Amino acid sequence: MRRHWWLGALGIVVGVALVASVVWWRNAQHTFAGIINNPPQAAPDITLTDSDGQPWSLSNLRGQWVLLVYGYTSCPDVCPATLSALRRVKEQLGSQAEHVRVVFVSVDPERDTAALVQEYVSHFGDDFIGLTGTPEAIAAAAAAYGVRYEVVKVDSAVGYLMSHTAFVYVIDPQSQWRLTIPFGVKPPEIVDDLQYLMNLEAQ
Amino acid sequence: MKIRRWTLFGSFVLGLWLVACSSAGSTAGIAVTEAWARPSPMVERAGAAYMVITNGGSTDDRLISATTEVAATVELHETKNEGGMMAMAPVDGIMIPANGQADLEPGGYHIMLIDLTRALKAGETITLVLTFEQAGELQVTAEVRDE
Repeated sequence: MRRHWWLGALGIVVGVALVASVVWWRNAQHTFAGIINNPPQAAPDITLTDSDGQPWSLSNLRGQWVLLVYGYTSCPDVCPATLSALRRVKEQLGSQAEHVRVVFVSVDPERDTAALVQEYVSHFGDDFIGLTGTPEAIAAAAAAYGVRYEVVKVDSAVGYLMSHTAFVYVIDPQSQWRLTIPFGVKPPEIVDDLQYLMNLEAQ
Repeated sequence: MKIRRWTLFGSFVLGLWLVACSSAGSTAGIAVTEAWARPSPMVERAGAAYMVITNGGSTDDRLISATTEVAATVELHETKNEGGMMAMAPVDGIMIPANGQADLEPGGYHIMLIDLTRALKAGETITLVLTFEQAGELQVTAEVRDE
C-alpha cells in the first residue's frame, strides 16, 4: 500500500517536470519570423495628423502594443495584403488583441487626405488608425523608422505609383521598438512572435 | 495484375482530366485555378485579382490583357521586392512557360482593376476575360475574399 503511494507521487513529480521542460523548451526554441531588436530600442515618437485634422502622436498609445505600417491608399497589392494580414493577426490574438493597435501612415500626402486614409484603414479594422500629414511631417515620421518611399511615374490609369518599404514595426507598451516584420510573413507567424513577446512581458 | 495497373493509371489520368476541366477555366493547354480578388469597399481605389495559370502545352504563352465587367480599366502589374523596397510597375504581359505555371499572388504579379464600377464584397464572384497570345480568350470566375 505504502509503495503505491510512492509511485503515485513520483508520477506526479515526473509529469510536472515533463510539462515544465516542454514549456521551457518551446520558449527557448522560439525563432522570430521578424527581425528582433536586441536589446530593444526606444521607439521614436512621430507626430502626424488624424482624421479630425488634429495633431496625433504615437506616444498617445503608450501602454498598448502598436503595429506601425506605412503605405498609401491607391496601393492595390502590397498595402491591402499587409492590412489584411494584420486584421487576421488581431482575430487570431483573441482577447489579447484589445491591447494591440494598428497604425497606418500614408506616404502619399498629395492624394491621401486624413479622412480618406481613415476611411481606407477602417475597412480592415474598426480600431485601425489612419494618419497623414504635411510632406515634411511624413518625411520625418518615415525617417524615424528607416522607411523609404518615392513617387514612380508609370504609364498606368491610376496615375503615379509609389515604391515604399513595407515592414511592420512592433512597439511595446513601454514604447520600446521590439521587432521589424518583413513583407510576406504570414499571420500565424506574426501571432507567434507577438505572443512570445507578450508572454515575456507578463513574466 | 498488369491489367489492373493499367486500369488504375487510366482512371488516374481520367481523374486529372476531370479536375482540369472543372477548374476556373481552361483553353488549349492553359488552365486557371485558385482565382480570387481582394474586396474593394471603396470604388475609387483599385482592386486586384490573383490566380495560378498553368500551361500544359509544349509552347510558351503570355497573358497579354484582361477585362472584367466590374472595372473600366484592367492592367497587368508586377510588384518587386528590391531590398525591402516594394516597387510596382505595369507589365506588357506575363509569361506562362511551356509545361509550367505563373503564380499571380500578393507581392508579385497581379491583375489590377481600375475604375471599379461597384464595390467588391467578400463572398461574391466576378468574371474576368483573360487574353493569351497563343491560347486566345479564357473566361475565369474569381471569388472575392479576404486573404
